[in-house]
Amino acid sequence: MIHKLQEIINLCEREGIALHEYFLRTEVEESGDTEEAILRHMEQNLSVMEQAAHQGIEGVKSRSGMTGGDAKLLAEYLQSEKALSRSIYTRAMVYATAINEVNAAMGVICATPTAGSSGTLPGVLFALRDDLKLSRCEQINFLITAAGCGIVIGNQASISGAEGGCQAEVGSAAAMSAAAIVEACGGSPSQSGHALAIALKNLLGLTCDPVAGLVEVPCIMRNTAGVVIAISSAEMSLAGVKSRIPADEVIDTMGKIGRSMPPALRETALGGLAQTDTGLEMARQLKETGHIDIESV
Amino acid sequence: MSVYRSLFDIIGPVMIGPSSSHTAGAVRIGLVARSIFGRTLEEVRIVLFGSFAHTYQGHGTDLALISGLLGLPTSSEKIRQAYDLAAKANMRVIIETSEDPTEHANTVDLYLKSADHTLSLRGVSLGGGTIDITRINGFDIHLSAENPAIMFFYKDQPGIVTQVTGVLAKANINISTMEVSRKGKGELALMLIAIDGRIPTSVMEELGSIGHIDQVIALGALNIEPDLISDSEQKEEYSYDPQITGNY
Repeated sequence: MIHKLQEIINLCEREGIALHEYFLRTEVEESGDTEEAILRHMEQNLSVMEQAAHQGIEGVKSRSGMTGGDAKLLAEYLQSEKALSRSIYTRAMVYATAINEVNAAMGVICATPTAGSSGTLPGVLFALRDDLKLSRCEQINFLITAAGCGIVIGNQASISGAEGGCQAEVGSAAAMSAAAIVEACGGSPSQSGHALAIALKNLLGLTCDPVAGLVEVPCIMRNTAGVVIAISSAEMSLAGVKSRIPADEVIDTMGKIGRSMPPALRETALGGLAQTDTGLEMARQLKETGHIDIESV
Repeated sequence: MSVYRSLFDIIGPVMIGPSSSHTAGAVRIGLVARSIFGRTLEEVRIVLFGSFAHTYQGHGTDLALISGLLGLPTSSEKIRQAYDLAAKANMRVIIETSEDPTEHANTVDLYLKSADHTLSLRGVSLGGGTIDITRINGFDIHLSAENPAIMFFYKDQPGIVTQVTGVLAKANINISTMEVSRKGKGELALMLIAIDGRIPTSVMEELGSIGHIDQVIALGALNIEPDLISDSEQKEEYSYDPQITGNY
């Protein structure tokens, strides 16, 4: 198993294969499963993401009452004349918000790489699918490339908010997405590496400070913002912009920053937005009544 | 060390929200504990540490652990009713939190009890639904349940390891990793062998008949989860069980 992204990129460019081909081959070797079985499993996960997006756009409400309905608002806004940009960005925002709202509502989702960051990657994928008319097979390849990059990030740094803050969750999701967008748009493995590095750099230091300990505020909006970082980073790389700091060094840095973050900013709800006056009031309501009345906060 | 080896460690699991570490990982720790225990549970004491202790209510970590102990997969919508299901199954649940420091932020100790059997186990949720069982009945080990594994409780003796590996070699079963831990020389020991592929029942019987071995437990791989989207109700429930060959 290769641990450095640069070594994987070099191997792919030497052999003239795409990242998803390398990652699929490795999965076959590691798991002993057939290619068909792996692709089928990935397609099942894709279907779960599609259902969650659909459900979220219809409108859901979390059990706490703190979040829900924003994807619906965004989708309606996108249809209206008012929308500032009716581009891939806004559509990705709708999907990402929808899926993470379903997650907050204890609905069925697929972790990408985690549940708290389950909106960003499919958000990007579905907007790209709409724009580029990606086939189902191309969508599965997108997921494989993203997953392979996620393995590298997880093993070199972290994909856990409790370990590395939100940069390890939404940061990783945006970085994985950026690399996969580049490949779907015909960029080289090396360009995928730069996109990954740029996206992760732009989310370094992001804390995990969920209000009342729930995966809702600010998690959902960070998924929404994650798509914008992912797409913009991919665009930069496709334009030929290079990250001055190599991807593997950015990944290592994310791990180091995570380890030096105080526990209060790593999913304990003991710091950051969780400890604001409003955040504490919502936590108090939840504890006392089991529900948050957002109108009264 | 590579914690993540499979694409599905990253794109997956399919699960009920809201947190892969605090919900899905917790279900999986419960599932593994249930498999190792291997009999009807009458009581479980759950002690939560770190981030688990601080945020378990919001993440449904308690619901998730109980659901795993009841055999529900991470994608089951029934997780929300875990306390009712536990009551129906006559399983007493005690939840405690501890401020004691632990190596990892998401740590839980489980104390399982039936009329004639107890088991204690420490589970750690590493992120993205990946878990590590780091302690079983006081033995320090590492069990990720990513691969099938066989666990042996036996009296520390010369030659046990050779006999066990001999049976596996004869059955052409490949060992991927192996760990041995003991309380003291000649005392109770635990051997954990991760293998490639499944363990036939005949091999389990042969392993169980080796002298000085108290218990052999076969564990399936955790990432084989049902697909909630296309499957029926019945398949959803207790889907992890067929992977377990049980106690001998």
